[in-house]
Amino acid sequence: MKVALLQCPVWGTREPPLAVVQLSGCLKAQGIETRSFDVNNRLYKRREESYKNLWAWEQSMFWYSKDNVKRFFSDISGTVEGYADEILAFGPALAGFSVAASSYHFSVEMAKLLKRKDKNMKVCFGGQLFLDKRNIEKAFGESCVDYVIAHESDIALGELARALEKGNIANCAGIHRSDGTRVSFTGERKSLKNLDKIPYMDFSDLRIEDYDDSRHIMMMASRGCVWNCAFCSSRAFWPGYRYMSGERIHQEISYHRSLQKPDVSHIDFADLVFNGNIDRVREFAKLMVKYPPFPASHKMQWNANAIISPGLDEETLRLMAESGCQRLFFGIESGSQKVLNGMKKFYSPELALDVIRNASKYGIKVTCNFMFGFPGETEQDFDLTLDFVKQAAPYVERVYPSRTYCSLEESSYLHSHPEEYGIRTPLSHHLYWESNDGTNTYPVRLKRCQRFELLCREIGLKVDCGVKTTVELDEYFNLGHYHEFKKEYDSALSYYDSYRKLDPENEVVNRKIEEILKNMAGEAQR
Amino acid sequence: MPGNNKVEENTKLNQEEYASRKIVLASYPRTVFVQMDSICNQDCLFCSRDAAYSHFDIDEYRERYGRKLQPVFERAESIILTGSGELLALPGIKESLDYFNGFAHAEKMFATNGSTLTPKMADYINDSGNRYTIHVSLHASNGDYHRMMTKSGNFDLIIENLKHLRSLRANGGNVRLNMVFLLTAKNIDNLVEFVHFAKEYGADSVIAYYNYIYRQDQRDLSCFFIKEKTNDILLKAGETASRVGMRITLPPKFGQDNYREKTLCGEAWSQIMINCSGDIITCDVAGDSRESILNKEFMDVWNGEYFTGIRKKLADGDTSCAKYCFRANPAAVNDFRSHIITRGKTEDEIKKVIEG
Ligand code: B12
Ligand code: SF4
Repeated sequence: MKVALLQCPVWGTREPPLAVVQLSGCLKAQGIETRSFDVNNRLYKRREESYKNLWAWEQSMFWYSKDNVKRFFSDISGTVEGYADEILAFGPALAGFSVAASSYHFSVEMAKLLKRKDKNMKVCFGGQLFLDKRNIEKAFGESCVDYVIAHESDIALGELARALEKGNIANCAGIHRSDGTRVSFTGERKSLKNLDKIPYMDFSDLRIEDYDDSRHIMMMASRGCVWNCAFCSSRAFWPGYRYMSGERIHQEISYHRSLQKPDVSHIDFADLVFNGNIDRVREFAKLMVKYPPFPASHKMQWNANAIISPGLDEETLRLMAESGCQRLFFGIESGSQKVLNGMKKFYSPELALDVIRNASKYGIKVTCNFMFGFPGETEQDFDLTLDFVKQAAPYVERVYPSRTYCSLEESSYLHSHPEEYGIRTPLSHHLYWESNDGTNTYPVRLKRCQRFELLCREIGLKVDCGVKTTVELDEYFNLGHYHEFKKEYDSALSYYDSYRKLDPENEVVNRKIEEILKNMAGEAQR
Repeated sequence: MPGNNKVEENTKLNQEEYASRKIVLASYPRTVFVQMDSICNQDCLFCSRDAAYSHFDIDEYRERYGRKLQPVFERAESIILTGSGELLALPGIKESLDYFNGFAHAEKMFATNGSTLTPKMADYINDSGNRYTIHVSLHASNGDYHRMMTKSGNFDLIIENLKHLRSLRANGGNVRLNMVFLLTAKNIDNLVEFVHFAKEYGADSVIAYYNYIYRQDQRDLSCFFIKEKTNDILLKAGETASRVGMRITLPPKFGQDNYREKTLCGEAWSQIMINCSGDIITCDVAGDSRESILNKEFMDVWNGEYFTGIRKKLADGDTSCAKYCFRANPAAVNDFRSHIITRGKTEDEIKKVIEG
């Protein structure tokens, strides 16, 4: 049984797709002949002038539209046909697509194309998108998907391949399947216990040097989180907190260095929290210092997400810095103890300051994330956040203010317990929710974010937010959207209009204005 | 931890049973080969790896065979960790080694391409309280030859690792080091140089042997087609080794008339090789065994149809299996079939490889 693994657009192009290289390593270690195909990177590398910017972060929305993707797919039909033939020439009996919201539509088109060319080939979709069961139904509705695995699949995918070979997958747990008319599930599968035994990522098909940054790899050395912050949706996919030992991480890094030439000298850990177990961090750091991966002259540097915890003491941070830690990202979120308690974040602003100061003392660059208008946050609480930023500023490289301010993510505690947090029910919108007393609304949160950014500008603290638009554009666009959602069309129009004055050519906004005018005319007629 | 008594008693009994050509044994094997397949970071010209093969999993191994193999390991003189791929690159390798290190009385041996024998691994092995013999399979004394043989660019890394091992050994380390040179038409010119290299890095010995042909495209690698040159170089390597004071093990030369007699192969009495599926792997020239400890107790396999069959054959003086084995029968070196791994191949396929 041969398995093809596919990554469709849009996804990152800085380094090989993490899930694919991880699953490839796993399948090969199970003795299954596997080949990985990064359709995303291939198309990105060969993109034509008219689609030049499609891979830019801000253009992600393009890929969420089925029509856009269908049009794009047919525009490049020659290229994708050729690639499909290449994939089929390998002779896969099963094609596994790693799917996120951004790659869903393209994956569907690609799966349809492959199936048209080879009716016997089975298609399996997997990825965190399917944590939401509605997406499983949706995928089966596309009539090109045979199986969905909505869980970690390091072992499951290989077992599915083996079971298919034997002609019976009933005993292979964790598989959603469709026979065209009926969808069924083969039963829950236990999560992996020991991450130390997960096979290494396999870069033999998708070579690091074919990506934007050939000196860099990403690695996920733990799954889940030790906390359960009320607003968090990221940890839901990964039950508990499971982690590789420091020894195992060091071993994998040394292995890739032995294989991928010494050029690979930077690692981003995709862990939700790298320091969920501080002993493993110390073990890893000590090993990196005592046994630097060859050649020692190319020092390995690494970045990670971390939580504020007493374990990140001065000595540990010194050791981490010595071992190559370059940047740490903290979700500080608020400077108010009351708000932090509400968020279920277990630290004090004082401890956060201590950790940040010590990290900076040893040269680790710190990024802090902030949220605005968490339920229960008053103006006084928000002022404490501003105070915190002023105190922390000398030790912080940059801040990330959340541009959704405080959103109610599905599968977060907040989303499922709105009453506990005084959020008006029924929930209106994940972004535009309001508090029962009406003091915490979307525009209030937006204003706090603006004040926050203003302060940062005043004190010369770098603000980064992953969005390239200016604060003004962001305000006009978001408030336009907000009022449109609330059917307050006059206000919506005025915000969109302000936007248009700054960016007259913006197609999305121009179309919005047209739509609203049409809606208003319709309502007036009625 | 069992005392050494068990080992000594078993060894003694095993030797007696071999000497008296016993077919059903009360003793356990003295050497156990554990096949631990792993990933690999090289792509050697002569490699036998298939496109896909499962990797060793210590938890599965312990769960399936731990109880059955406990008495075997307790009595073994040596445990040889073998298999496809680069052993030390196996994720969580320390956990696996820890398990076998639990049988500290047994000598341990494994082969590595050297790239994963990092200072960290070397320190760990040295500090394990076990006696290890490491075979570093280099096949080359410099980066150019090494790249050609292994299709990888990690020679400098290996040198760094060997330097660390050298200083560890020089400072009272407890690790034995053999350097392995697989002789092929491509690298044989480098053998004499390799002896000097091994001396420089303080190896205990050099081991050279001919490559086995697994696939037809490896045929031209064989020294069988450059017999005179091979003999000449083997002679020079032997002389060089004795001049510089390096122990060396060389394969039989071609076309000699003073080969030693066929020996009664003792392997069916003294050793066993088990892969992670529990299957008994036979030596390279014997056919498939179809025996497995997965669903049988160890002694039922050790004294099962396959082993008793071979022992009986050998005890009866039938040495036909040594016809293509130049370990038991050095003269076999002159028959090209001895250079081919015939296991799993049809007669037609074997013929194709022989005829080229
Ligand atoms: C690293 C990462 C990225 C990197 C990817 C780098 C790379 N080279 O792969 C980058 C920065 C590019 C990225 C981008 C985006 N990301 Co992102 N990213 C992550 C992160 C942090 C880790 C993902 C990862 O690779 N983990 C390691 C692997 C092994 O885990 P995995 O992908 O989950 O794979 C396992 C299972 O899902 C499953 N699986 C995965 N693929 C397949 C395929 C088959 C066939 C099967 C059977 C199973 C299977 O098995 C795997 C092994 O157990 C996660 C959050 C998290 N911490 O998990 C978000 C996450 C995956 N990203 C997400 C999203 C939405 C995006 C973006 C679309 C936008 C955004 N909001 O960030 C963009 C893409 C747009 C663009 N232009 O690139 C979401 C996906 C949720 C969804 N509903 O789709 C996540 C879960 C974050 C979140 N909670 O919102 N991301
Ligand atoms: S620390 Fe981060 S990952 Fe963990 S629960 Fe909180 S927000 Fe989620």
